[in-house]
Amino acid sequence: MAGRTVEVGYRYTRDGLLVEGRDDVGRVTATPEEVIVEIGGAEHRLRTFGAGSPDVDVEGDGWSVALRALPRFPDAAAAVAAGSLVAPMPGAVAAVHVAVGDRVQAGSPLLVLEAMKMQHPVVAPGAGVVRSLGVVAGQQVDAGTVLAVIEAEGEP
Amino acid sequence: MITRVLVANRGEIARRVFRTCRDLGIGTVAVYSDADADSPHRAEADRAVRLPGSAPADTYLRADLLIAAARAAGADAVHPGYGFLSENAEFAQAVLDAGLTWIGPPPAAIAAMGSKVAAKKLMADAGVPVLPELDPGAVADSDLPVLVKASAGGGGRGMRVVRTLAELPAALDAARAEAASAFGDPTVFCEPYIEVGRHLEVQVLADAHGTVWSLGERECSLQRRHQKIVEETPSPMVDDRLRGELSAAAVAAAKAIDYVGAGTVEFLARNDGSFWFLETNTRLQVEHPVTECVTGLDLVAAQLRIAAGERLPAAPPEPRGAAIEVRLYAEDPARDWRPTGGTVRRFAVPGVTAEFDVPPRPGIRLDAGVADGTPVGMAYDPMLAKVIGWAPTREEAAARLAAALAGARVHGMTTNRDLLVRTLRHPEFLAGRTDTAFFDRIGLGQLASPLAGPDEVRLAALAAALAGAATRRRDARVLGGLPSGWRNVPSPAAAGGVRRGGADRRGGLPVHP
Repeated sequence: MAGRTVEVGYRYTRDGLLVEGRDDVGRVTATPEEVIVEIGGAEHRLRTFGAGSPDVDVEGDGWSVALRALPRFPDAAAAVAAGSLVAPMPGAVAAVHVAVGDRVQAGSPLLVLEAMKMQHPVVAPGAGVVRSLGVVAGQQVDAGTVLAVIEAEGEP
Repeated sequence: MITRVLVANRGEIARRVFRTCRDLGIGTVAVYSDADADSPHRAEADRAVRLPGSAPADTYLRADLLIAAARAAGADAVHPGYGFLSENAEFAQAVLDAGLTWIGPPPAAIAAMGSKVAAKKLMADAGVPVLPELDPGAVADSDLPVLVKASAGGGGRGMRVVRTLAELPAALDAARAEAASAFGDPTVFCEPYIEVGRHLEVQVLADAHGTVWSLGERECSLQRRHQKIVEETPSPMVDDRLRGELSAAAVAAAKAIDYVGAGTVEFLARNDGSFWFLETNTRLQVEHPVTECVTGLDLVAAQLRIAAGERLPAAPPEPRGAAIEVRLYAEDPARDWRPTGGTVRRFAVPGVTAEFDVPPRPGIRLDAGVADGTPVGMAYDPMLAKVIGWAPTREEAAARLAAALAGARVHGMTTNRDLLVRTLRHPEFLAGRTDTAFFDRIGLGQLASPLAGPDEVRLAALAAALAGAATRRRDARVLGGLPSGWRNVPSPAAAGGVRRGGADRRGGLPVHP
């Protein structure tokens, strides 16, 4: 199991906690240090260490598991190539002001996203050359879509 | 009269010696390398002296620095612990020449036993059965398999099993290099390798007035890379007749070299009760706590008293019950026992009834070298702690020890804990079939699998997610009193992802607060 990712889905309802994929979980009491889960009528006391931090250790009845928390809301900017500009929100590309190969200055308008009936200019974060363009005018994009890649001045 | 002891060692054995010194009203001095600056043994001593650097050759193997440290800190005696310079006759002599008390056997006895090659000849002359010694240059096909051993060795270092003649030169080179680096002496020799055997050893205690005690045997057959990880007394294979023979051989060995102090005579045995002398360890053994538990003796106190010239009573105490020790290592048995290391985030063992000491009644003893926050690096042996279970019977000792280990809090690195628990609960172990082939026979696939199965991992992940939510709720500045996940309309499930730890756990994933 080492290195494997475990997804947990749960939701609080008027009747208590609902855990995706199991129907035997009853009453749950959770504090940062201790979680008591009723399973099939028996209470299981779990000690948690480092909850809310990246490294969480959980101890049960004669076993323990070391976990590493994954981001709740993955930061798309962290997963794309350096110099990439990603869509900060879902929307439509209203206009594209540059072409591949253009030199841009910090603050140069690159394109315009339209979302919630408002136009949001996307500007160059620094001086450089437009290495690629991922979108065309009129296209719908999701949050996190790579719009353009700017190669900074002085890089190969 | 000893008033202040410097322990020329580190980790748990330094702490073990300090405990006895405190109980006897004797002052303590630690030495520590740079890698051990945050080690508990440094903080625990009355005085501490830094040994610059981290490599053993620059620090714990430097006799000159250790003696200077003893002088600087006002120590009048030196305890060598085990490993490092504990079986180095020149160091013992240098300590004596500096006008300090050496807490160990006379240098001549160390020298007589320190060379395993010479020791075997001495034992054979005393009538103790020995395995034939093979000249590394003249090993023939019919001698295989052979074991290459460091003459000055211990702790499995410098040891290699050779099954084909083609492997021999490389094994000899590697063993020589290891022996030179660990013990400062590259001499190696070969002997026939017994594939399935039992490692038995007898604890002896001798005073300077001719009394030699045998304190019974320990069995240490469960080893990996020729290093013991489970040790117990009494051995499930030894009956009274064999115990008598082993004890007589051990006492004869001690008397043959005018031994003084605590020592161990090691034997290799077969299940049919035949046995051969392996070597004598002229020091305290890692596994001495099991003997202490069943005899009620404090072997370090006995060493100190013997060093001060006191006499042993005529007969040793009668042993009570059974004791099993396991060595908790920062290593991953599932990945070829690879050392892991890191920083110990939290360390605690439930149900411990004594630390570095015999429990007042049967219970759990802990001898730990680490505490919360101790870094565990690659510079030294990655042993974190020894945990010892002592009970009226072997079965109870195994059960109690397994439960204590299973509940142990060892956060921050992969350890061999789950393997130890599975071993102690295995029917073959409980039946006493603990020969040297145990791990190969049962298989690590079974023994090294985690105690937490898929259900427990999912439960742990749920608990981690809920505790994380509780933490965010507690720290929330707005509407902190609302229950976590409160909605006034039904909503989709919240998601929390966690990754099961392992060797790659320090991989550095992006983290959202």
